[in-house]
Amino acid sequence: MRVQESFRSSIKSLFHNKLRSFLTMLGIIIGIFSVIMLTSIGEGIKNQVTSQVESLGANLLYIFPGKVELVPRRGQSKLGVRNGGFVESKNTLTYNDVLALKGKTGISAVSCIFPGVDWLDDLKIFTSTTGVDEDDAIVTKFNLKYGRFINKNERVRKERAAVIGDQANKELFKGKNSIGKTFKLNGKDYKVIGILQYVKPENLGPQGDDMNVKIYLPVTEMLDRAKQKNISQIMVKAASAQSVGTAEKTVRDIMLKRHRDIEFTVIKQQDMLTAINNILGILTAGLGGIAAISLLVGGIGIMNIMLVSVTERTREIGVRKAIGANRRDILIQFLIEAVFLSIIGGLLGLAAGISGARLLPSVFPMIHTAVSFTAVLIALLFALLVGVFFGVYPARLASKLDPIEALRSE
Amino acid sequence: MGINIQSLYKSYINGDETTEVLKDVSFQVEDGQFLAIVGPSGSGKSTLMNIIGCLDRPTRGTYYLAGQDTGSLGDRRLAAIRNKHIGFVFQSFNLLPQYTALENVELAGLYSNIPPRTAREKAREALISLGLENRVKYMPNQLSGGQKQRVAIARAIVNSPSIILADEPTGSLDSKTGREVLDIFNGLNREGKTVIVVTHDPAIAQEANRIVNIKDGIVREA
Repeated sequence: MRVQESFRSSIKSLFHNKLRSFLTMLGIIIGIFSVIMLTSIGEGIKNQVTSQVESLGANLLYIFPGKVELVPRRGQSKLGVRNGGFVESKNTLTYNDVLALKGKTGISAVSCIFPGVDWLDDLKIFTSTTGVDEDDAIVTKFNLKYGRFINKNERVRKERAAVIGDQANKELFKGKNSIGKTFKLNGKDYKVIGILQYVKPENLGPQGDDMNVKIYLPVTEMLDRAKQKNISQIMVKAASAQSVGTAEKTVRDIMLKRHRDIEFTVIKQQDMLTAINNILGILTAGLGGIAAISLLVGGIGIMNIMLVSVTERTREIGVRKAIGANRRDILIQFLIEAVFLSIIGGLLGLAAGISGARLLPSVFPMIHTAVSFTAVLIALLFALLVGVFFGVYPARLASKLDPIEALRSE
Repeated sequence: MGINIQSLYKSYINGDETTEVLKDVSFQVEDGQFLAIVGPSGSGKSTLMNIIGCLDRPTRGTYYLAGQDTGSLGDRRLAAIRNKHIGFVFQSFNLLPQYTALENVELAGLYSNIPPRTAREKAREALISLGLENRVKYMPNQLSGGQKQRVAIARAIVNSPSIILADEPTGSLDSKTGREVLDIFNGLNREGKTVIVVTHDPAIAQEANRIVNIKDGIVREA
């Protein structure tokens, strides 16, 4: 079998020049390694962001003040208002909007966020506080260590009740069960009714901050104290995955009765995820593309070594032709050799890339990686293509050698 | 596989200078002949042998091998003829250094598309027939000159060709091993193979039952 001979000859000559083969492969190894590493970091970020957004709860709609186009719609005039929030420079969302949305068609819960800064007497620092509706317990999945979340009674009566994070509990109460105890904000006593605990520090809250340092208060209490009406965002939970569309329509209808179109924006959680994934996808592809340039360099290395090999083995080519090899046999032999270099290099690079992607998070815990099957497949296919592309020219050169000249060469 | 060469010319163009290596060569070789082509170096004898061996093509004239005009054949057909019907033996052995003796011999079988196992068996038989049963796994650099040439002859005969072409086969050997190699050729000739030896040594030519002299590209029957 002639093809078997081509394989054997390729393996023999690769092992015959072990160091040279390895150095030639190194270009491909580094290329595939970087492609896998970079795309797996990008993929890891994507997964992390997705899981964070999903950890906020499913089937959510967000209402923001002002007009924001997250995904530009096709065929829309480019002159349309893009950021009405800034144009209007006024936030018109109020807590009454939250109350107006509650219990309407397709909606199971409505909460809001009012961010505040309060003086924490016990520690003599300013601290961030978050005003929420009692529905926030349905909208966000809270991990409660002790106690319960704010209830309707406390919200309606604007009571000074607080749900605090584990870190806040440690600093205020030395980590003991502090349910029923009080701490002072702006000189007034607040009663602890719940303590949140999150194991992973990266489990970020709706504002992208650590849930363990949070202090949640009834939004009504905070608005009252700040003498404000406006809230910074409203979260609406649809009754089910199927009713997200209905809920969105309900929200728009009700909001349009209460506001002008450019005063608010409704964004589905899914749209947000899609937009984020689009951006991260482009980023990952870009990073992978840059890494792929090194693959190209590796391919040129293969071509270079194959040209040297053809020159060195001119006599061998002559002998093979005298024995009965035709041009195609010689072409295939050298092509297989080039493809072997690139494929073995590709596999080694893949192994290095996958183990690198596995090890990276243990060295840098902030970095998350995920090796995607698609990236592996594309990388290997690309390695193969590089081998064929850069192997064809030297192999053609070898096959076209005149056997007489080849036999004469020393 | 009768050889019939009709008014054959071969010239090389080197810049604007044309060198005529073979001029109006015509001769026939019948099956089973032991022919010596004798001439000084540069006389064109190797070129003639390469054309007979289908490694090279004439500039003009025709070369019939077994009645077929080789000028009309393409690369694949010529390669197949070299593989199945012609066995080459070179002065410098031309064994592949990265292959064992067995693998070198096997190569000819593999290029003829026979199953790898059969190719290996035939290669082993050829080596045994030349007294190399203890050298099967040796690399060429572990073999003596005579052994190398015997491996090369095994490679030439493994596909049972009807023509053996040898270019100064004893040129790199001492007289004793050279004698052994010539005896092998005599044996092959007795089996009915056509043997063509190119040499500048008249003593070797005496082995042949026909001698053709070549000088300045002109062939003359001795």
